[in-house]
Amino acid sequence: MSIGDDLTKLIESWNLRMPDKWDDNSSLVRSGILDSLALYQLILWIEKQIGKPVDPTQFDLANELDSITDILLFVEKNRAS
Amino acid sequence: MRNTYEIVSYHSAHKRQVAKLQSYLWTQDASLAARYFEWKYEENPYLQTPLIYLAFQGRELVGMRGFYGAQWELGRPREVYSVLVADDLVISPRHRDRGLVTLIMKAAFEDLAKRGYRHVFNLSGGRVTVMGSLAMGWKSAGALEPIDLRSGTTFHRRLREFLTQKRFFWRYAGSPLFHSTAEREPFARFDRMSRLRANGSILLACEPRPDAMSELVVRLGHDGRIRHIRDREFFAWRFRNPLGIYRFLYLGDSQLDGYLVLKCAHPGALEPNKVKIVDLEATQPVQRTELLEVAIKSGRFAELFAWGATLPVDTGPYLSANGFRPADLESRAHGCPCVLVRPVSPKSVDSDWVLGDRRLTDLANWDMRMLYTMAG
Repeated sequence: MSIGDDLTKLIESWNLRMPDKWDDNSSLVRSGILDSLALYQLILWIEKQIGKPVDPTQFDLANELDSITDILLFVEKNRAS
Repeated sequence: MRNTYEIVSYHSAHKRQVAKLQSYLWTQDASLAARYFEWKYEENPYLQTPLIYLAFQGRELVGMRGFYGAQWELGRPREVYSVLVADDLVISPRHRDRGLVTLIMKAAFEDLAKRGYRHVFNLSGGRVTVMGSLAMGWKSAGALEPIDLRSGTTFHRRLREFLTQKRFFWRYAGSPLFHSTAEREPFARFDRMSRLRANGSILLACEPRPDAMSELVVRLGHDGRIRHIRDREFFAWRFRNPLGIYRFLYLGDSQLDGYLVLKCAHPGALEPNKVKIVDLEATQPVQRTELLEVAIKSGRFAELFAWGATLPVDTGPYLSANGFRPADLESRAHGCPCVLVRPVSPKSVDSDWVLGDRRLTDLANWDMRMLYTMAG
């Protein structure tokens, strides 16, 4: 399973109020779909992927983690660094 | 069943339901919760009408966010601003992860903008709240860097840590049986010492002295950083917090040369029972050191806790030299606790992140003390 599939499955498992049609570019954070607790779990998942703590006060969370595409990009960028 | 929520402003008829919902956050003691609510929102000297936004599903209260009144001074010449503090965010477990926080906050910000508020602060949010707030456009001014000094409780602490990892037994780890006397009654030794005059000129006391404390604050002056007003009215109200137990160290007589305030949680509060340094003032650095020395030695607290980020320049090194170490490492790694700020308007421009002549997102512009927050 790819990391993207893993993330999609994780988000689906939270039983959020997702729109009928959504894809990797749909807004999850700015739209308010991901609530505080879901965001907390998302950060834990990202930390597991990159192997280090993520301080969410140090970047623009609403923009940098807004969609699945954004999240995967964030993981890629922070893994590399 | 379709989840339709109605967001309404608080009315006194909701008081009992609010206190019940807050059993998740404040205390499971209903009468203590009611007293805390009355103190924080009804007796607040800076806001006569509670500004609380409630989410109902049918007749059931399922979520809320409160804003309590606070008054801040900053700049040169000094200016005074009323900036509300967002607090008490609770969503009933069955209604979490349904976008309810976003709904409540949207309604709250629309109403606050109509009432003329330009900014809000959030000063004691936990990691989950901070995460949700950042997603909704709040910014952190900086981390408050918790530090603590631990003594004499290794056995009990390790026993609790062991129990929390064991099936079935984890639920008993919080029992008083697994806490040392110093943890169960943090001020017991301090109170015995208070009958003595601890150190020539320092008096240990259970009661605040709002007149003398506020007079000292005025006499010491203000460097222009953002801080809460500490006048007689503030002190008189602040130490009536029913979820806190306070102790005071006074240096000087009728006119104070310094004071230090310690707090531990009421036994009924859902808060770890550590002793916190919530405020400290003195005319000279050496007097600050004297007050801290007496606090450390007279209390022998299991855990003495402070925020390191905005201490006076001489105080941080003194505390480090006396055994204080970075605390709450998990929270620290995630930038918590922190000062969160946000303009009320959803479409903020750069100038909206400034209050008076101070940029809100720079911790160097803050003289932040635990006493200004509900952690203190």
